[in-house]
Amino acid sequence: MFAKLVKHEFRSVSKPLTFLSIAAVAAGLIGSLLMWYFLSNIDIEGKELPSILAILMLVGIYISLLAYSVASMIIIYYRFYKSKFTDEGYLTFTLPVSTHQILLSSILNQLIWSAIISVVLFICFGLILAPPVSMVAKEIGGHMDWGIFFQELDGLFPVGSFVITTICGEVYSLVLPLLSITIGSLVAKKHKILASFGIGYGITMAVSTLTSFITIADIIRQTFANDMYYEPTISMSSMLIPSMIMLVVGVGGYFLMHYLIERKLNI
Amino acid sequence: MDIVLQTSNLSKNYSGIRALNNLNIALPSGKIIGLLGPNGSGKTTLIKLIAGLLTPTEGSIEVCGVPVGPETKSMISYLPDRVYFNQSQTVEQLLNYFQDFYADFDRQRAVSMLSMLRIPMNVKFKTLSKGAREKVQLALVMSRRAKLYLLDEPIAGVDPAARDFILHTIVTNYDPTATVLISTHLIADVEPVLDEFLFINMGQIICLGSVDDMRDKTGKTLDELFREVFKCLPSL
Repeated sequence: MFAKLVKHEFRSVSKPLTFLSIAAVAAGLIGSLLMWYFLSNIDIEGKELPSILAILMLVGIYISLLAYSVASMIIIYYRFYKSKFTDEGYLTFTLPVSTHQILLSSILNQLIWSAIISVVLFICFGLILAPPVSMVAKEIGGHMDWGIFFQELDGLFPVGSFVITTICGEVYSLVLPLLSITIGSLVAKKHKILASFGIGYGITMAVSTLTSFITIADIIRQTFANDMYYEPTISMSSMLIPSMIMLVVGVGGYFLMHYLIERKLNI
Repeated sequence: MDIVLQTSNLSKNYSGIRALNNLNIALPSGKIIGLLGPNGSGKTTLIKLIAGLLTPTEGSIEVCGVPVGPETKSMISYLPDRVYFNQSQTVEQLLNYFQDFYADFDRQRAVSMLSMLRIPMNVKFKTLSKGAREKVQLALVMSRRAKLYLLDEPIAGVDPAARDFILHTIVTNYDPTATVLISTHLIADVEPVLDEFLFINMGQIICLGSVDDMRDKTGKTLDELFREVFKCLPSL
């Protein structure tokens, strides 16, 4: 049943999102051609105006790609709202499945589409940046020691903490919008979507404030713990505290959402 | 006779207001039962509780001996008092949806009902008229081989010809071993199809029994009895 829920969730948004993704890739291709044109004519006299136009169009494409990612997420969130908190909820919540299955299928659907959107954006920006990167690679590629490069990168930002931060951030970013929509739909009589935005903003602000406060307190504590050096110290714990807060809010938010739908929802 | 639905001391509060008060009912199988009462009497609340859309404040509900949950939802075929399908889907997609989730869904029966209604399968649900949408919903709900059918105001807001079609569909399509609970305040229209009735007001059962027995005993129709019981104006 869970697989069927995921299948129907995925299909319910697949048409508009596939269309948007194809449009985004097309924009990326056009962007690549514009970038190539700009780089080919950058030093040629008399080609300044077309080059400026190419850059302006590139900016437009960059904005449209950002709009693509935002619009895609709005479509997913709106479908969540429609299928649970409008008349469609009568069908959703009378299916022979548990509330956990309904919520987890929505979260998984969001995760799958987020991954697809990320891949599409990666392809688009890859296409746009391919001309300048290939030029730079031609110049320095032969002299670059990639092994040392990645070693230094790992030293700057350890892979372990990167993985933890990513997982925690992902749990938080998957649950927060759905939780905001759930609370917004329950508390507001009218303008439920607006209320959801407000609640999402409020939770984000509260989490950011708490995270900043605890992180700064931790940095101060560690800095003054060492009597010899009064230098600000950013340790692993300072980096992981925000992730832990996001994880707690994400997991707690999921159970709060489940409780509200099970006990308080009256469509 | 098997008991399909049993409620014990069932109560539901909305922000402190009692919508259902200590309800104890046991519905037998193989009957068409009218859940009758004026607006705001608690009919929809009771149906939503049985369907698993609401959680009781107190008491319990069992469908075929099973407490309300995913298992009972597979035994209940529920038609709410509104358009509740995803309107961007085609009729065919809606059929696929029902087939995927309900093991008791009889696709052939749904297809034949829809073809009788001359509703094409590839048309989007939102392009249908209000009456046609309600008929599609009813066709899908009645195409399930459920143990309990919950029909909330199935004939409200449709013309008399459509009412006849809906009642005919209900009578001819429900499994004889199943129970149909029809909530309505249009008593005269549903009276000919009802086996039993259940009057509800202010969240409490006022009276219940067999329609035929009631007619024999009182010499009144169900509609006349309803008007008498729920009389709210002095005689003119």
